[in-house]
Amino acid sequence: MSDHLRHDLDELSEHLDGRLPEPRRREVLERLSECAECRDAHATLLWAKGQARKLAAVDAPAGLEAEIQARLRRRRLPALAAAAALVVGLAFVYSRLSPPPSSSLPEAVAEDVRSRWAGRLELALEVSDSRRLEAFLGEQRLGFEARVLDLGMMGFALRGGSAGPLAARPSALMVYRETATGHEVLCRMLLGGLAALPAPHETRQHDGIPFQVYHLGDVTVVFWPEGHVLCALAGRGEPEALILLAFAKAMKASRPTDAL
Amino acid sequence: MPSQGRQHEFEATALPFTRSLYSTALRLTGRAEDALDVVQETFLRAFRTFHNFRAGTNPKAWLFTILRSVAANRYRDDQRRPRLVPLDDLDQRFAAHAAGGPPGLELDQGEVERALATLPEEFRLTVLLVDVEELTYEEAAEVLRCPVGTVRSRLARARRGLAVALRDYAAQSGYASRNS
Repeated sequence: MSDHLRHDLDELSEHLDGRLPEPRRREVLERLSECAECRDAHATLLWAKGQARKLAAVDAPAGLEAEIQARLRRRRLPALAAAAALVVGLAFVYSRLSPPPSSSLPEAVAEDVRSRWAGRLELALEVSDSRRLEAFLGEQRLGFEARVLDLGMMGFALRGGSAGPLAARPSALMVYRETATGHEVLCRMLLGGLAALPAPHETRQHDGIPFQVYHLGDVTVVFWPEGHVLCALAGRGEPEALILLAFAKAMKASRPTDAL
Repeated sequence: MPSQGRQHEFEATALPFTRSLYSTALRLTGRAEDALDVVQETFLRAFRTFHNFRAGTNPKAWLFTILRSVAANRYRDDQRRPRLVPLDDLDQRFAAHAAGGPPGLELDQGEVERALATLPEEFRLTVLLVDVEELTYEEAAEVLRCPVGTVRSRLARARRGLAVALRDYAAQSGYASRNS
């Protein structure tokens, strides 16, 4: 490469953006007319810039703006949020002291999904490491060992989790976000079996495991038993995709038991 | 406490840039989940400092300034970065690639994305701000917190690096043989 070209590369790049003042612009044009090496460099830079300019904006996941607006509202109204937290706290205490509420487990799980969507359901621990979440849940006296599903191979990353009552039963909550779309899927685990559930909209059988499916508005909830623990996956996406996700994870969870 | 009217004003100012911010965050972090976190944190920080935003200035540049700060703090030591194209002998390699002019081919968006991802972050971000988001050199300097002259030289170097990466990528993908 000639010395003058090395010196001029920055100027050629700036020329592409139409930023050179008139005397320098004319000098560059004269040089381009005289120097083939300069013309090649100029054309190649123009090509690279053109390729970069073709990059289109990537669609943000649906619901991102709504989630941002919800978070802004929470930040704007801390007093109201504190009051809401107090109400939630009182409801928690009440739920521990009173009989199970009338709302069914599928409805309660679906409500979790809607609350997350609206930005109303915070996680006690936001973490992507499943072992850390498992250790946290192990300290919560749930009465069972909560197994944090690994959905990484299915394209979902762990967001975190919580422990708290679901329809008055101690329960673990895990939240995952689909890497490609940003959509969330929730997993609930609690003590119990399928008998605790109302009649499902669909029943499925896969690999010897019974699944009960509930279509509740735009939310699908899939339950299956793992020993004395009732597991559920729930989300707003394509129902069949969620059911297949449950099939995949329940199979893995049940195989050791099946072998006994 | 900010008023509801203030929130509406902020949303009208900032939310139209959600796609741009998300796209750039995705191209910086390489993961949709991380990009979502960066964008949300950017909006929350921007809302907290909205009183500092000067009417008449470019809100896009202001938001990108915050996004860059959020991304830098979160991913400074990130080990998942793609392998970067070495830039030490860039001028020699660019001259070799440029001899004879640019290849007569158009790469698709995914191929350009992958080539861009091999540039070091400060070069990649400069290309994204100026060539993709169409900020001026002065606005990009504000985002990058550097002199305009640094933007000028960094952008020139980034374009050379991108040209080399694109041609290398095209050659690896068999374009060169198909177009030669």
